Amino acid sequence: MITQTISVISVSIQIAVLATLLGLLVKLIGESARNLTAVFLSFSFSLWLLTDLYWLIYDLMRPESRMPFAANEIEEVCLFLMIAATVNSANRRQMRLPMGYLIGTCLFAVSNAVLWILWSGEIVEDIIVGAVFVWLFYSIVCGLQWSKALESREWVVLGIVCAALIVCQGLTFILPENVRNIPDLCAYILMIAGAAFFTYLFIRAYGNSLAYPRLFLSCALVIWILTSKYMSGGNWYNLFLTLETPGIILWYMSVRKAVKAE
Amino acid sequence: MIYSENILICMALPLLLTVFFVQGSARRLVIHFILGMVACLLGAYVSGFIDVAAGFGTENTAIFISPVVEETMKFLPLLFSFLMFEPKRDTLFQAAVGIGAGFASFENVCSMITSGTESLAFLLIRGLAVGVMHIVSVSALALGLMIAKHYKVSGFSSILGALSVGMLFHGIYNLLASESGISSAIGFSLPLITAILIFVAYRKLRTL
Repeated sequence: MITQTISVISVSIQIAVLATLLGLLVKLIGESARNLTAVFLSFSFSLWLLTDLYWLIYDLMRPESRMPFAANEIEEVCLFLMIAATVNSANRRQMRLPMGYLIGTCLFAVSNAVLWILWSGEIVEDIIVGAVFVWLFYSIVCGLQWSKALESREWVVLGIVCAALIVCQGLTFILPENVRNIPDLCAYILMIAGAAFFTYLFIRAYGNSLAYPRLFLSCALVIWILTSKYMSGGNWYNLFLTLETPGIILWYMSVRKAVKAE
Repeated sequence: MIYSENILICMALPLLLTVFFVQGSARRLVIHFILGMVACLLGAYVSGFIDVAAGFGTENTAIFISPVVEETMKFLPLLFSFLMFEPKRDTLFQAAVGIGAGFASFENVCSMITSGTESLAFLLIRGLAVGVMHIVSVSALALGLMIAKHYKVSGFSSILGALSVGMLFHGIYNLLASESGISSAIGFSLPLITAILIFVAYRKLRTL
């Protein structure tokens, strides 16, 4: 009951924040002569706001039942496509990713989809969302590469964190129940470490007044938190749900800065 | 059980005749109005099929599946018109309004025949809410198409995003209206509030 109340409060705050940011974005679109990134971000925020509203209304009206297939599942796919479009619109030079990055990105996204299937059993939906996730991760990694937001060793650290996270999550399915808590806890620590890592990179880019690295890093932070949320349950889910909101604010601020700089 | 095909024929025939007597934007509006009614009937077929095939149950299908199906059915003629004729902004918006109004009118008529026509107040509230809701959601689709046309990049994402906005808006309305009390009151007033917001956004888009 307490967990549900916390998630309802978190989503309500997120709705209020998204509505405010949408108003600010409309103003920004006008000021920037319809900047493409600002337009796509407003689209993404509209979708996010509506899906939050849908979830909140459902949770308040039918708290006891599990939500069946509904419009918000299609919206989820569209939201990820729209976020990818937002990222790509800011990426000035469409470059090919080196093979190592490409394989790593695809592996992480596909592993996520496999884990969702193992958790929920919704094969078709998770495959579709997984495919869109590949495209989203690819777009973000391209943006991070183009803007040189990460140094080589930081890419290595990120790769290790992602690999360790997938291994820990995978172990929770294999290990016996009495020791399952250990990889589970390790996975949560890695998720928090990943969020802290992107936050550190964002602060560093902020200090150096680098508009585009900041934009891509804030987006990567939001998507990392969102991915972690999908991997979590109970209070951990609420933690990542709550962390999403400041991430969204940082994302908006970064886009605003990049748009104004043009 | 009602014979909705017969109702459609009776409603569409005078309108079809009208097409030969009017021209320009009036003709376009009438054609899209008829297309909206046809989309409503086809949507009911598809929803009915999903209900039977997937075993969701009539209530769950009406609340959760219908928004997806109905918005897709409304979107198809609009997309066809958008891709084939490359209409101007105003023409596309007019087509969207025609489809939305036709869809809502046919749905209202079928609903009235099914549930009775005793309470004028309820019919007025429902009629207005459904009417505005369908026009608003299809206008959101038109707005998405306009944005896709204007920016030319990521057109697929924009179109899908617009469709998704329409579906979610419709879904929220259906969910709120599914239970009586304060939730249905909010549900019935939601389309009107959104219509005002869309109108403001549309005006802003025109002036930008």
